[in-house]
Amino acid sequence: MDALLEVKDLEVTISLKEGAVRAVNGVSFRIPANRTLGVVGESGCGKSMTARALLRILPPGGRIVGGQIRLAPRDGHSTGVVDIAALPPRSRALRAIRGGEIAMIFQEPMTSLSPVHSIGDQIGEGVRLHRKTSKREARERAVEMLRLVGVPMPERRVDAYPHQLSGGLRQRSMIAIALACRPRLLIADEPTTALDVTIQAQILNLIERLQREMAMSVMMITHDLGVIAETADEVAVMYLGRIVEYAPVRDLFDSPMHPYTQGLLASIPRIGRPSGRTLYSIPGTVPDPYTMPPGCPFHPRCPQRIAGVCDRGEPPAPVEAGPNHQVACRLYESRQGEADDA
Amino acid sequence: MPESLLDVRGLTKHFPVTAGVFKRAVGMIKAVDGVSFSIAPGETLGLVGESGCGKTTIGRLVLRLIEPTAGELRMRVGDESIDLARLNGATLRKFRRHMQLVFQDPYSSLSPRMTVMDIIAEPLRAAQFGSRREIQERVKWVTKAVGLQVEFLGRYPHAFSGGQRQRICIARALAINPKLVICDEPVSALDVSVQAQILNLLKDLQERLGMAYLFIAHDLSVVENISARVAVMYAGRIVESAPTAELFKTPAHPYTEALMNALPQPDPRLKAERVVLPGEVADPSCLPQGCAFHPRCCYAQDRCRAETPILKETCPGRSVACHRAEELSLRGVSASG
Repeated sequence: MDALLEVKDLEVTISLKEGAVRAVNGVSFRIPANRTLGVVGESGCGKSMTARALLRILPPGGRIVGGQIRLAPRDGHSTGVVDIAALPPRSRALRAIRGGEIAMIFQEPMTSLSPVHSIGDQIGEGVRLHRKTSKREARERAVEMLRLVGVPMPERRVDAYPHQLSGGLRQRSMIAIALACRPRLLIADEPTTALDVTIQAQILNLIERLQREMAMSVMMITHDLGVIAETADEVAVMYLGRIVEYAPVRDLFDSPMHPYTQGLLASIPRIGRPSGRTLYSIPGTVPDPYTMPPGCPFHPRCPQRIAGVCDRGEPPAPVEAGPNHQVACRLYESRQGEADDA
Repeated sequence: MPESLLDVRGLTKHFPVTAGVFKRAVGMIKAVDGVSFSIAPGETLGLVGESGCGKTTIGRLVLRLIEPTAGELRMRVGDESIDLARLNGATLRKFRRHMQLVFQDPYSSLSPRMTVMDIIAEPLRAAQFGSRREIQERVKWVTKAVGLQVEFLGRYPHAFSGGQRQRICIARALAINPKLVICDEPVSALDVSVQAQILNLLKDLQERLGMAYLFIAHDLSVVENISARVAVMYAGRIVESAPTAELFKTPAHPYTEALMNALPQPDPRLKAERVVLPGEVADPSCLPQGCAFHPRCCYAQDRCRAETPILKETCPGRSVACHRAEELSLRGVSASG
């Protein structure tokens, strides 16, 4: 196994009052060591559920019903590849992975930090769990982490509570908590969406710097194509629980293939363009997950749909459309067929 | 210069910071501090800045939802020019029909207990627009204008998606034919593909109906797309205002430059050019001496630390509040791709 993490045919369902919803539907991707995978999509596309499945922290009613999440062993360790999806939910092995191997930061730092514990205690908690260190050492580690993430006056801030910090400092503290045990993969779920533009730039720079210094992989989940362009090496575009396109970042922006990706790129206002211009907009809205359309899930909104092809049968499977560039769209299936014939 | 619809002069709002049992004032938050701008009929003025800069407070002051500490708010209706800041009670209520508001979050700004029909009809009833029939006809007309089906009028807001809800909010704002609509972050809670639909709708409605927008947003690319002119705010003051194209091509205030360059561009080739502004947004309850932006400004000199710059017109239509505006040449964004 040459990648750090390999996800194969992941399927997640969530049971709600109204019935079961397939939130993640056969998602496969791999994250190589020291690289950044960007996952982009609109609300309800399953990007956060995919991330939560990796840590097995799905919301109540959420369940992995199929697929594998394979994590490579650390260098020099003899333990083999671990399938996170198959670990028992309360096992020691799973707890060692959470925070130790894979850590996560969330969108809203205020709601995901504990209001009744100091920042230092929250950083130290993970350290003491994973490293079996003393309270004093954990505190020293907390100060060191706060300094690393650029919190001014770390010796004093270590005793501060989240409400005493600004949004930017809270997000820095959350990153310090996540990275305190040197995980190999950091999952960042919309880490800058709640922040101001100038603070967003600081946090993105910080994540990039820490990734380099600590040699870790990053899974960057966002709805913002600007953030994707700045951070990702490879990009997965998700729509209704599926990856519809997967490509290296430059290829995705230079030659998007899936009509959904093309629509997304055309519909964002870009700075430096004349104002008053009518923006392209994808018609309609994301359908709710109970009424999944037959055939390709995107066909009711797709300007390039082929009647009688796209609106029936199974959803299209991803096809190799270029070097390391996959797209799940009927438009490219025929091309693949021709190539096979020749 | 055409006669302006709204003329704001020296608008100021200070919130007292209170402490103790007797709510003694211990400090002052200068949320809005001497802001002046004007909006022509049918024009869009974009108001942009980070959280806490006072842009939402300005919107609420213009609507007189909160009382200004000082300043003038002149609005022209017909041949009259009325100072909104001096209106009270019934006259203010009567005047409110000329200005309406669209909020950021379409989930919390619609009553879950009212049908869409009642939601859109409410301002019409409040303004005694006409008979029941006339009100119904008007609601149907405005519903179609925002691209919703008339058949949905009997439903409740929970049955609609975020984009459709924002259309309902827009229909409610436009129902009584206002002259000014204040849009407070109307697209920032929406998905990318829906955001474009709503921006196009707002532009299209303005072309057809001719109302003016005060468009408040934190996202420069959204503001650029919809506004004819842009005012940039920092810590309760306007630091720069200019026609949109000029502002983006040649920003004159270092904060404008930083804001533009901090925005992540949807182009992987521009990755290396990110400029990161140090520090945090100034706290409006204890502003630094001199220019409020100087602790974060890479061009700051001694003068900036001592003297507060005032907003000055540098050429017709452009003003900037920076001591070094004339000597600096700042980096804008040019059209790419």
